[in-house]
Amino acid sequence: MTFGYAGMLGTGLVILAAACSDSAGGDVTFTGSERATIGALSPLAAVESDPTNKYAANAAAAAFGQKLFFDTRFSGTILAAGALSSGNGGLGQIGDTGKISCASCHQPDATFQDVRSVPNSCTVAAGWTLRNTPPLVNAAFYKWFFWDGRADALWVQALLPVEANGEMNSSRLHVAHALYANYKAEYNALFDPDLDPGLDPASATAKQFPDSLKPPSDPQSPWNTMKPADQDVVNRIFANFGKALAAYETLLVARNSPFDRYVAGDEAAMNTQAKLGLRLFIGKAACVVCHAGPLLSDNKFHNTGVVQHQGDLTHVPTSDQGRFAGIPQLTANALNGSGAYSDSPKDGKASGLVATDADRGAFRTKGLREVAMTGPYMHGGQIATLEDVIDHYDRGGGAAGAFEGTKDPLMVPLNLTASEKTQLVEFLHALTGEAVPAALTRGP
Amino acid sequence: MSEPAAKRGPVARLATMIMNRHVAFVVAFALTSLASTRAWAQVAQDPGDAGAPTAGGAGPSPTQPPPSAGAEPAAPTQETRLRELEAESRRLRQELDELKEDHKSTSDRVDKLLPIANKFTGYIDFGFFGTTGNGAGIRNDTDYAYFPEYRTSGIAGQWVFYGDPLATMVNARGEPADTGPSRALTFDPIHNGGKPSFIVNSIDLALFHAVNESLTFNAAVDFIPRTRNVSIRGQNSKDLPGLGDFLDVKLGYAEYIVPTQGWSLSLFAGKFDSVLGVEYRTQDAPDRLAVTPSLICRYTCGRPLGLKARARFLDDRLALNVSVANGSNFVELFPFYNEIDSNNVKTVSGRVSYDLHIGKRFEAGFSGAYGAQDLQSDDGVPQWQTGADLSIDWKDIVLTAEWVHGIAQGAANIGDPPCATAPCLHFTGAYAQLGYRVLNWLTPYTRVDTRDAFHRDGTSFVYISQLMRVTGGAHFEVGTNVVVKAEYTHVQQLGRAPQFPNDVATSSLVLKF
Repeated sequence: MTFGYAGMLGTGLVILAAACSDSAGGDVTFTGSERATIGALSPLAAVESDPTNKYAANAAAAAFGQKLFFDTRFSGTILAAGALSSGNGGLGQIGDTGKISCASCHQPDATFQDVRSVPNSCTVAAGWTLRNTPPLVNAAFYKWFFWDGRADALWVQALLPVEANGEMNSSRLHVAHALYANYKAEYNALFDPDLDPGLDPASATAKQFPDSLKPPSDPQSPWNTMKPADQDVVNRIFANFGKALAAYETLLVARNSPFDRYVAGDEAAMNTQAKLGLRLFIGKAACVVCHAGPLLSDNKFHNTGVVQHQGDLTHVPTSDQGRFAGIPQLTANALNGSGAYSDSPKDGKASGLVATDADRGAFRTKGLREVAMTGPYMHGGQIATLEDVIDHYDRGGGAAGAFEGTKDPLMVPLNLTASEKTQLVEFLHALTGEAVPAALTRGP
Repeated sequence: MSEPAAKRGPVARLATMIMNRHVAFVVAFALTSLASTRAWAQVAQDPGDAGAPTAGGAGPSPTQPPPSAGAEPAAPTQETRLRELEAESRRLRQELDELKEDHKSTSDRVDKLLPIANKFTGYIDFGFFGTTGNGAGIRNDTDYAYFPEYRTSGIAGQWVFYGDPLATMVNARGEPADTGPSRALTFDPIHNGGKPSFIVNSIDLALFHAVNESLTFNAAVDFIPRTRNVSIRGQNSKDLPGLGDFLDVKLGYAEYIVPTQGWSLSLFAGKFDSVLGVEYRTQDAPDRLAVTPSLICRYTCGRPLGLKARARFLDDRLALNVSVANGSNFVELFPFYNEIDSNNVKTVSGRVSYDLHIGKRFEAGFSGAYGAQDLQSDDGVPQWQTGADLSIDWKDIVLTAEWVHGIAQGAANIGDPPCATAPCLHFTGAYAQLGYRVLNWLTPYTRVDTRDAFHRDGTSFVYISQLMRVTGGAHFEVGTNVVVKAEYTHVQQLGRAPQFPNDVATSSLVLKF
């Protein structure tokens, strides 16, 4: 055999192998099954109505809620932990009041989450929160609220920070008085019944409704000496306060991300790396198992084995039971979706809910829209970057003992290569939608 | 290179040198003797007078009277002629003495060199390949469409796989074009989506050293040039990715040939060839008839660490191989392999074979292995396999066939999903490969192989592999240092798995030295 034969043979092999390969070219294509999976992730439909809040789709309520959202007059006293100190991004000095609004921690220019606090894993307000502040953009698509799901409706969620020491450190009594003092006409135009005249400090019945910053949970609060009927009056005002805020927050939706445009047929909307990342997202990495639906969250709770203490976590507690602790808080809250102040108690989700061991250390699946804008990540802000989040899942979560409870069975090593991790991150960046209309990002 | 070749080469070469010297000496001696004999014969037969042969064919006797006067004058006298012959004889004796001396000197040098015989060999395996589909031999059953029984198993549909992650092997090392979404087989050294690509499959270097005629050392290393990022992963994204190139220490063992009579016994220690089946003998590119391994090579072609004994009886017809090793005889690429053991129970493997001595080889063997499951710390989780093989090299036909069946039992705690503590693997596979030497440099071949396997790891993944492959190719020997091979493999899914494109065309140009 001469070299000529070998040369001919080699040429033949090259042609054969080249012919054997797909002629699809360099771009990424998906199978029919993959396309079906992808199609279920977009577009982001209209926010479903919330039967427990009949004002959720009320434009006037939303406009009213927007005012409330930016108003600091509902807040209480800044505590020592939350006081402004060197470089921590605090909002005032110890004892200051009226310095905190919803917008203080859900900053409109930052996907309605906190980018002010230092360190940014948790948030400094009246004190320090124990968890990372979730963004409010697209929050209305969730079924459960807070990392631990201790609110079963958006309006329920809006109320809890008001009376939390680390957040607004205020009370429902003070909210009722502030509404009467500042928004009486608007409130009365929207809600029935009108604000009780007893909320007027000059009223003869004013002592039925003492203005106090101490919430019901405080044994020193005058709330505990009030008549149930008066408590009911205040609770209803407080619930309506939350429902107005929820109506506004329902409008905070970001759509038309590159991913949405790609699914709609714009092939150029995502680059090749992002498409490869999408393939991993729905395939090898199986992210879509939990990050499902247009919100990219299954609205369930999973223990992903996040190491509770890592990085700069000065304010993160050493232990966090997650959903296991959230369920009792939800069921004990008179102002939940199943309670008397719900507009449809039968549609509430708190009734009959019991925490089990499976809930220990579990947290709500984060919706991944806007995720590139919402670091740091995880319930305590333990993980700073998306790359590190991918690494966390690639490892199959942390080692047992570094977190509460037992990891979800789905948390197993993904065996991603470095380039695959990069592709996933690229895809996550393609989930950033158009900004919320500017008119919604400022107060009156 | 294969173990027998490594062992045989330098010794054979030295033996050949010695033999050659002996032959030269014998030939020289014979020629010298012949020359002398012929000279004496000439003397005896020299008519001197140019007369015709005597009747009866008998030559004139030395006692015969000289030719009569008046005849043609004989220039040299008989005495002169005798002196010349004596001188010639002395010269030839001197030459013979010199040759004897030369031979002795050579023998002495060979005897001195023999104990330090070294051999350095290697090869470069260069190829070109392409596949249909995306280069991966598996697909995921995302919607549980084909294996609905796993819908409630806790395993994400993305991690329910059908096909075989090694079905798209493109080279002698058994590396697939792409592992795709595989979760068990995670090392993806080629990872090019099956696109047509040139590739240096391996650069192999092998060392042999003979301490003496009984004790030898062998080592072989593959240097593997690959793409950045695929072989060395950083601990997190902040780490710089490593170079893709890596090396694979394939062999590293000592062999001691125990002095015996009537039978032979060799002892091995280190990282040596498998004892199961026959495919391991020809698994390296220069030795392999085909370009790629069979589907079951993963179970029998590994190179475990431990101790091995090989005995041959009945004029080498009956052979017995036994090894005690850290782990199974699985290949390193497959996720059952313990180079360094993680449990206390070693794996015992053995093979018994009989060669009918028909043609170059007509051998049948049975083999098996038993030990603690690879990569498990629990000694109580067993892993075993058994197999049978047939190897025929008769006239111009080369046939090999193997069957293997085995189980890695796996384990799970009460309440956990099956196989959660230790993965489960059940496998049965076989192949038959037939080659025919059409010409001394051309051997077309065909192979049919099949694999039926179940591999599950808790909720992490499950593979349901039921497939058959048909391979056709040709093997060209271009001189003594170049081998060219090319083949096409069609992969056919069996059972419930749907067919998908993952055929492979691949080739190999092996340059050996």
